Amino acid sequence: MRKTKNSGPTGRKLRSQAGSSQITEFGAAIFLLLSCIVIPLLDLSIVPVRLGLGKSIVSHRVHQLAQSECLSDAFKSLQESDFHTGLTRIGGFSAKSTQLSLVATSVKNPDQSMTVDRPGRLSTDWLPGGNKGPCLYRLDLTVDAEIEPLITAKVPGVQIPGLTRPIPFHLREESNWENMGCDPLSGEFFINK
Amino acid sequence: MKFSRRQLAKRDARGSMLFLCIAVLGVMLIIVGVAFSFYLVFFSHQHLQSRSEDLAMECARQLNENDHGGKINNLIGHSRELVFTSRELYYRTGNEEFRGLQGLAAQVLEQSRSGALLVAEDRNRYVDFSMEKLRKIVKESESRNQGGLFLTSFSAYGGEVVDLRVGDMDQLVSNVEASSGVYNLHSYDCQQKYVMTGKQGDLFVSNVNLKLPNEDSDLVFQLASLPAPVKGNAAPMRLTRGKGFKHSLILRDAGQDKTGKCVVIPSAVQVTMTMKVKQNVVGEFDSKTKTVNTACANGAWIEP
Repeated sequence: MRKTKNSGPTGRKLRSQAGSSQITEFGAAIFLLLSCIVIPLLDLSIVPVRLGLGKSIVSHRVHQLAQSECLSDAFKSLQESDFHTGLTRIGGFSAKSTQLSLVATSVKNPDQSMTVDRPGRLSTDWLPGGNKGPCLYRLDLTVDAEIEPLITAKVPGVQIPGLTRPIPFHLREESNWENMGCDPLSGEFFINK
Repeated sequence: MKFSRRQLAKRDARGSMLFLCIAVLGVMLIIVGVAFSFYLVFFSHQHLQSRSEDLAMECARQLNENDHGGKINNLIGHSRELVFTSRELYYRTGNEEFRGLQGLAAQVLEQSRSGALLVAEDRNRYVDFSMEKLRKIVKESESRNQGGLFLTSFSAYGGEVVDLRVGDMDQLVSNVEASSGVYNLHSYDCQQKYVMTGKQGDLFVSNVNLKLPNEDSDLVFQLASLPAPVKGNAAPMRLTRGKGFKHSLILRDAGQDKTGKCVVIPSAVQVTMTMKVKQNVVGEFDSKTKTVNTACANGAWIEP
């Protein structure tokens, strides 16, 4: 029945007069909704996605490195691998610096820990069977990165993270060191080799 | 009931607004759906990774459970030494002075040779038994995890072991100490490069047939590459990156069980698992996630 009423010239006229004004108002509202809420949200919503992907890559990498034969192998693998390329492939993710370290934490006294950033630096006290032992050995990978939103508005002199410049993040992932054995020939612990 | 023209116009405008609102909501739901699907794919991969690591560790535990592998290695080393000394003894009875003892020396030699064959036979039986147990562990793990993950329109199921390989980690030495007590044998071993010298002592190389000279060269003495204990501590079992893993037997290839024999006791295992991921939040999406994990068996214990 409605179709019959609106299909006439009077109905069409009425609809266009009243409806168009409503649509114009709604269009403005839609424009505001899109420009002020939806687009900025979409723009920023890529950041947690990129952060999640980056975190997952860092976590996977540190887990792999913790399974190395010895500590020097882990450091060498990190330097030689295309870890940075993998992070860059996410898009809008740039790793500024990467640091790998081994953290030994005393189980008896969890406040005490020793961090080394190169092989052969763990003192005898912190090695398995040492005075501080038993200890937990964790490989720690820290990445300082900048994540860009979908669109970055470059405004000279204005530095607003997430709007005019990428957002800086500090990613830190750790994994338990796996090879707790000793080299049968040299007698050195693989964790310190 | 009659509606005024103004009321009818209002209803039409509201109708179009409702349509637009539904469209915007629909777009947002699709975006959320896609994001959720990606998250679930990641989640299922992590789930599979943890299952695969567990399975690899369980298999690695089986390879040298209660130091059976280490003990067999020591037995092989000792029986080799026994054959060598028995042969030397037999040669010595060739002199006029000890000729009367030659029959006894021949008997000792024969017994030590058959002892070496018996050890090799038992080693092979142990390897076969271990491999059967590995197959059983894998089957049990698969049947335990058949349920998969189901979440409304997302499902991750399968968790199938597609590849199962056993081997070693390209480690050069075994846990067997080369005894310097038998001077002739030690110098022969050093000459043949069967021994590696370390701070903790001399160790026999692994995965090499440690042939004895002359008549006893027909016997096979091959040691598994199990880490020797250092300062009284055995190397614990662990996950490795798989770099340097060399397989000696494929137990399963592309989902198919394979038969075969292993010459030495394997000390590492590599497990490849796949899981099917399916979602229909936004259209149909089928994918497969795959993980590869390698684990090393625990090292040998101190010989009592």
